[in-house]
Amino acid sequence: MVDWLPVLVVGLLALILIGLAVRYNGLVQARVRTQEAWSGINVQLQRRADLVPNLVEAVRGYARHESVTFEAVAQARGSVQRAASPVEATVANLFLAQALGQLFAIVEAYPELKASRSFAALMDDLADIEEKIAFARQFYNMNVLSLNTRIQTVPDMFYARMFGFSTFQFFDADEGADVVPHLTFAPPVAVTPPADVPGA
Amino acid sequence: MRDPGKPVLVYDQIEENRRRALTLIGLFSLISVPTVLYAGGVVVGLFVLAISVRVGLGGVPRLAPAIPITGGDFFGSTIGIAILLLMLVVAAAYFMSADLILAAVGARRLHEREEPELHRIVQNLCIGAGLPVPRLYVLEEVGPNAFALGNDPASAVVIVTRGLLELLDRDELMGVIAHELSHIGNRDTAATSLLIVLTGLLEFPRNAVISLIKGEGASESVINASSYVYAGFVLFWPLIGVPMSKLLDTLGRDANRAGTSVFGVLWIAIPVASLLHVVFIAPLLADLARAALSREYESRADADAALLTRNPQGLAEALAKISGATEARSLTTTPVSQLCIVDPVGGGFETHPPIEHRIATLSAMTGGSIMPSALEQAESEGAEWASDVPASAVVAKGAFRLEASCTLFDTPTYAGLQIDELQVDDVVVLVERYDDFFRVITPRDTFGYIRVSTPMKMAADLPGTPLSTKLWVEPPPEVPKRRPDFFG
Repeated sequence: MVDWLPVLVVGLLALILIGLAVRYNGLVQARVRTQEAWSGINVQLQRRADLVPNLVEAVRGYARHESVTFEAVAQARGSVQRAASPVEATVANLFLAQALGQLFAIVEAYPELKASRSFAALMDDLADIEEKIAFARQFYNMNVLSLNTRIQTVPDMFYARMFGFSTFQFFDADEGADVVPHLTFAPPVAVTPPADVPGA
Repeated sequence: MRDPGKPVLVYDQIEENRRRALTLIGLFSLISVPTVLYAGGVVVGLFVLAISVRVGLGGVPRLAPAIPITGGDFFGSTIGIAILLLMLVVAAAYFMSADLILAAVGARRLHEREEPELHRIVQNLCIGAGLPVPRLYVLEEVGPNAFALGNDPASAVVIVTRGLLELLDRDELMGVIAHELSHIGNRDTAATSLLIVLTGLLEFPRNAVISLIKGEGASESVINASSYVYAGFVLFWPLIGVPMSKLLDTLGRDANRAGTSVFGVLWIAIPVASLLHVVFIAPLLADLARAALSREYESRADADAALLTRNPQGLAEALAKISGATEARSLTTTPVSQLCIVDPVGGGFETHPPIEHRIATLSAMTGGSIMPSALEQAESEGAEWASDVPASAVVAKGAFRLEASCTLFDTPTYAGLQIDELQVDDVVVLVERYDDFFRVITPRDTFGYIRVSTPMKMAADLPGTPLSTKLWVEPPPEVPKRRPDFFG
């Protein structure tokens, strides 16, 4: 005659432990994905910072005497690249966005600069990177949404508390959103040739 | 249907879809079991018959026809062989389907230097969706459409037609691409390829019978001929073979036993019922299930696209434009029709929700902020475009007669070298399209590039057939990354 009680208890305990492990792994996975999504934003911000020297050079060719602004932009870019923590990076990018805003204010005063091909190409690249940044943020927010919902709802709520999972901040600071719209460029891709003669 | 306003993360969606796909596979297996047994029974029965005739065994007519129903030892092996065969076919078709369909519709890989804006849209949306960037293909077709293929995101493919690139603006194109990327993220593409294979398998007996009744196919090809033979056996095996075998069976024993009449009825009822299932019911069920699932996939991809682009208006206007351009819809390749952003052929069971319904749902997602006039305008723009598509702008192959003189370039850029001047009435053969240029063969048998906007008319009166576009699929020559700048 088998005594069923110990078997039952051990079986139940095992089930609970397995369930706990699966839930825990799921939470860890969601957290890692959110962190990865955050680093995705940083990759794009870094790309924007990499574009800055070219942008400055293009403007410098037309507006040599605006060295104060160039200096500010260079410093802001340097701090973006040196930033070690997420907070530092956010602040640095905020400064970079401001500095770029000043740079574009200068551009408005030089029509021939705005019309130049190389500058238009740079602006095109910048607009593309801005869009990439926006999408990277959106992806991060979607991950945060999923993770935070799990952490704050039954049953994951209990595990999250037990193992110290905390909610992530949504990315809602709209830094840099004012950088591109300031400019009044027609997209350079839309240029159509007026005649049969190329490159005239 | 899910609440369209509720955001859903790609990862969670994948899990949900995996469960759905499993349910679906279960459902289809249930539908297909009789078909498989039946087909297997017929094949093995034939095999046994052939051998026994050769060996000259007596009594086999009694044994062989009964195999699909009983068959004793043969029954087990029949199931085994049939299921193995089915699994092999399904697996092969499933893993090869993307490449098969790409080849079947004649899609061409879009090089990164072509359509840079499209590549950009795809890359940026992939960042937002957390997906690897899929390969991009173009179909030189007038009908504006797009579809996605591939069993997993890493090997996924997005195909757009030339008409789509011509018709839509950036926001609209973004909506369509987001819809396709949602299909990839939700694993709809994988489920759909599986569905296409399974439905094709289940519909085979019906199509075989239809071709038999219509009397076509017996001589046209090996496949048609074999389906002819197959249909013959599907039809006549239970109706004649099985009752005959039972008749022989009972004649050999005591015909007056009590249970015989019951068995006699079963002997006829089971084969007839299974015949009905295999030829009529299973294909119908498969069609219905496929269409229902496809409709659900479509509306969910619409919702996900709206979420990804944060701009339901783009997709709504794209749909309005495409529905306006019905005149130009021409992608008639049936196997891919359910994969497309809009059903290119229509008819049969609807694989897409009605386009007005989809637009209304998208409009509801914006809180009704899309102006009906904007949609109407998009639709009439589509109609206008479709009524006046320059054949050369989308067909990009065949012989054309120039209606104005133009310059021949050595590369598909405005900065290229001018290598020749073509005159009015010169006939050129359009080979391939690269952005704003056609690669052409000139009357002097040289290659070069002319602008797409060059006025020309299709030279239908010319003898001979246009060259196949598939002969020239290599990427365009490397050109320095420069932008045309004609103003300064």
